[in-house]
Amino acid sequence: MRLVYADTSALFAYLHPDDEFAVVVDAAVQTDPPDFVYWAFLRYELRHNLRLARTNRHGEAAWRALRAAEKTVARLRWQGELTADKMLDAAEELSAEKAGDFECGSSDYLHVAAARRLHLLSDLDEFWTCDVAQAKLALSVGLKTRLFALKA
Amino acid sequence: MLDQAMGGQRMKVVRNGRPAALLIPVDEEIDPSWEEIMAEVRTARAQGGSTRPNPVLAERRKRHYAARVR
Repeated sequence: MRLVYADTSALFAYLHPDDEFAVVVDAAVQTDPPDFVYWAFLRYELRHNLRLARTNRHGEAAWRALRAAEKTVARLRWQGELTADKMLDAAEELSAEKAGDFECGSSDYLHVAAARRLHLLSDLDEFWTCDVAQAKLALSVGLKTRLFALKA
Repeated sequence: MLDQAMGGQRMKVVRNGRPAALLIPVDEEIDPSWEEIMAEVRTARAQGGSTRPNPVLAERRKRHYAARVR
């Protein structure tokens, strides 16, 4: 099974049935189901946003799907290599190198730095995001990147 | 038992007559597929309804103050 780093924007869209990107991200998963990278910051950002969305039964369904996926070993693959302290240093280095060229926020650098780390270890097949600026940053560091766009 | 498992056999380990664990070949999938995990979400999505903006992107756009003033 291929391993994909899905930015939180894409993982949220996959899990929440009402998200604007849900259809396009789900279609990509159904075409060739990947396992997704999971680590501390991604977990925090994803859980936080799904908690805020638990306002109706669709939000509850998304939360239950996340918890079921977290109980697996493979669907959300925990990356022991991606520790918060190491990734903060890596994001800082990436920001120092690229901040003048891309209109990305601090968390964008954290995700791309983490994905680049896995890419360098030859463990990553693709980087998925719904964020245009983050996709440009990911491409600039050599990640095979899939940007999800809304259907017109 | 390990030889049998390596030969492809799945076994249930019981303690005091009650199932306690499973022994399966190492190359067998034990996790549910995304299809199974997402069944309820896909049913909800199939019902249609309005979509909502992606909150992760919305939060990031709000934070891009520095980029906007540069």
